[in-house]
Amino acid sequence: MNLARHIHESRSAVVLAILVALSLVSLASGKRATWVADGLRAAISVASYPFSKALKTVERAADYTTGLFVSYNGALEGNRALQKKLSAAMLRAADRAELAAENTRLRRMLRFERNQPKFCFEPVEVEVIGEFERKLQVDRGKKHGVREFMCAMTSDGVVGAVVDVQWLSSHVLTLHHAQCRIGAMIGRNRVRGIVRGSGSDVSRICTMEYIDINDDVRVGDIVVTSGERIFPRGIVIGTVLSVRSSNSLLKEADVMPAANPYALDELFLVQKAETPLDEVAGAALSEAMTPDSAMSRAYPMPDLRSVQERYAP
Amino acid sequence: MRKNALWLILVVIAALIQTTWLKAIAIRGVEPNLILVLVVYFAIASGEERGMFTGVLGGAFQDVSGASILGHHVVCLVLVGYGVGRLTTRLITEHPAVKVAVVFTAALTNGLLYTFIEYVQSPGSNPISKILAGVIHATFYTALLSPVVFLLVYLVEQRLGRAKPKPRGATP
Repeated sequence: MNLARHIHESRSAVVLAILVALSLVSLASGKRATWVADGLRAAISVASYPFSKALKTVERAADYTTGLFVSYNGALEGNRALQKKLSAAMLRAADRAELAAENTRLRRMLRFERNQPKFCFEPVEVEVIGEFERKLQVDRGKKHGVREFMCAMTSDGVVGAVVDVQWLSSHVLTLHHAQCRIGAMIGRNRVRGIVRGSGSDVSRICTMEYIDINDDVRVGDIVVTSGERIFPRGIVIGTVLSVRSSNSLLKEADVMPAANPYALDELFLVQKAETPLDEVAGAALSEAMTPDSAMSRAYPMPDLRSVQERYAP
Repeated sequence: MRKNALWLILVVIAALIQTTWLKAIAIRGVEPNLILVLVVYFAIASGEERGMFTGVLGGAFQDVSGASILGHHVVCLVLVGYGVGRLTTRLITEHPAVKVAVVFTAALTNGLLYTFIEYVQSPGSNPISKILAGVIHATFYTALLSPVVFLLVYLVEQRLGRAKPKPRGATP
């Protein structure tokens, strides 16, 4: 009776002793897989499943919520980076296209230079670096052997003449300048005249003046240089657009220049031009005629006759 | 009966949270010991017996969920529950700081006991580094978390258990 009362009074200590003893026994056994542990593990596994799933769901929701902001910022930064890359790529593509165009132009000029058996000239390839009042500024000057009144041309035709030469650059007076005068002739029948620039920005059509009223000039005729002064003979100037008669012994023709000086990047400056003799008379004509009878219809070069002599009836 | 059922539910939920969700609030791998806080709470509120049984249930959860031998956490928590229960019969204050100090002492004791038993089981381990690296940090974390847990459990008990604090213990 006393023992029961004593146990009752010390109930908590007894419980403690029992629990500690059981725990120590379990610890002393050292077994991790007992039927008690396995049962508890199974029960806990089942019970903790909803908690684990809920935790995973909350984690996913949190990831999704934060992802809305983090991913947005990431996407924004990625978009900016891609825009920079795109801009760089577009610049590279533009550079490549520019290089390809330049390559094409240079190849065409090189081909033109090589395939001109009728000319013997030493061209200087120059680059147009500026344009002002129908004058082109090019990147070659005295240092590079450029002299005044050199012929400026492209594979399309005459561009103009060098008028102002500095040490490192020069200016080319274009066909459209009012002061530009070029000795010209109709390629078909060697009818001569002088091509003059309009001097207008509105109309770039040039005028071929001093054409004998009796000469045959037709729309569509190719106008070439006559080689009388600074230009080599036979370089294309342009095409006759129209012919008009004045109240005199002369008539004029509107000529559309073949080369557009304002759409050029490179051009030739002809340092030295030697025109073959057959070009003077025309190759086909010189081949057809015997040496004795090879009389050219062209005027002797240079044509030093006065206008009165040339055009007197 | 209702109070016992609520206690059981609370301990089981706390044990499940301890073994699942508390990893989410771990700081550098240090987790608070929620079961220990409940052991202290029930030891203060309901006496050392309730504290010891809380330790048995929660400790068994921890032992089974972890890699410990069954009884490792149990014996630590039972001893802590008994000690806190006996100690709080002599407390005459209900100041929250005192309760936090009790939790801190209990957590430190629990950690030291656990490490000691672990050292006895495998003498090759270094208990000092384990105490310095884990026990101290977990003790502080548990103590910091204890007022929140005390308040929540108290509110749940008041709302669901209609429990009135025992006159012998301090009401958390």
